[in-house]
Amino acid sequence: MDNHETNNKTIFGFWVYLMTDLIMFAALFATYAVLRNNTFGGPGGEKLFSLPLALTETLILLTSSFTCGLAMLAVNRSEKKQTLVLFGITFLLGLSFLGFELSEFGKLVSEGHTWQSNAFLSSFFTLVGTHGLHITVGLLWMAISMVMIWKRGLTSAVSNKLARLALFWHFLDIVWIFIFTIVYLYAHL
Amino acid sequence: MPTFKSYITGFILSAALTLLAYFAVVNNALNALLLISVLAIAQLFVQMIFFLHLNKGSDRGWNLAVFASTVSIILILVAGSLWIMNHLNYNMTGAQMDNYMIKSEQMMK
Repeated sequence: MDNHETNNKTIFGFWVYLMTDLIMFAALFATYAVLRNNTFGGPGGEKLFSLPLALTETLILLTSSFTCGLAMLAVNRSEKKQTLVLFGITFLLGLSFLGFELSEFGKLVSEGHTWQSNAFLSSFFTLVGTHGLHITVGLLWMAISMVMIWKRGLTSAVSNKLARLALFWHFLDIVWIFIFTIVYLYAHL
Repeated sequence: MPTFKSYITGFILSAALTLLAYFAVVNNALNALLLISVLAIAQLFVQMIFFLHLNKGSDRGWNLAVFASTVSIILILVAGSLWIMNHLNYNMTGAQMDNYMIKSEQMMK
C-alpha cells in the first residue's frame, strides 16, 4: 500500500479541518485589510515592517516545507533514519522561523508598538500571531512525531499520522505566502 | 505522484516567485500591486500541485472539491467585508457628510 496516498478518510477529514482553518485565516486577513490604515496617528506597516526580515522568514519556511516533503518521500520508502533527519531539519528551520518572528514582535513591543496601540497593530499581531501559534503547535507535533518514529518505526499507522503533519506544515507555508504578500509586501508599495 | 523531482521543481519555482515579488516591491516596479498579487496566487498553485499534489487527475479529487468550496466561501467573506466596511457612511446625508464622502471616496481611489 502506498502510504503517501490520501484516499483514506482520516486524512481527508484532516484536510476538511484545514479548510475550516483557512476560513478563519481569511477572516483575520479581512480584518487586517479593513483596519490596515487605522494607526491612530502612529506609524504604519511601511515604517514598522522590515522587508529583508520578512523575506528571510519566507525563504526559511519555504525550505522547511520542502524538507518536509522530502521527509514524506523517505516515509514512503520506509527509510527510518532519513525520515528522522529530514524532519529534524524541518524542525530546526521551523524553529528559526519562529525565532525570527518572536524577535520581530519583541522589537516592536519594546519600541512601544503593541497589540493595544491601535487597530492596525491589533489586527497585525492577531493575524501573524495566530500563524505563529500554528507554527508552534506544528513544531510540538513534529517533535513528538520524531520520538514516535524513533520508538515505533514507520508503521502504517505512524505513516498516516506523519501524512497529516506534513499536510499541516505545507498548509502553514501556503498561508504564510499570503501573509508575506498582503502584510509585508503591500505595506511597502 | 510524489517524486523527488516534483518537490525540487516546486521548491525552485516557489523561491523564484517569492524573490520576484520581493524585488518588484523593493525596486518599485510598475503595477507592483497587481504583479505581486498574481505571483502569490501563482505560488499557491505551485505549492498545491508540487507539494500537496492537488491536481485534478489524482486521487485527491475530493480534496480539490472541498478546497474549491472553501475558496468560494472565502471570496464572499473577504470581498463582502471589504465592500461593506468601505461603504459604512453611504446613507449619511448633509453638506458636511457629502464633503466627507467625497473626500473619503477620493482617498479610496
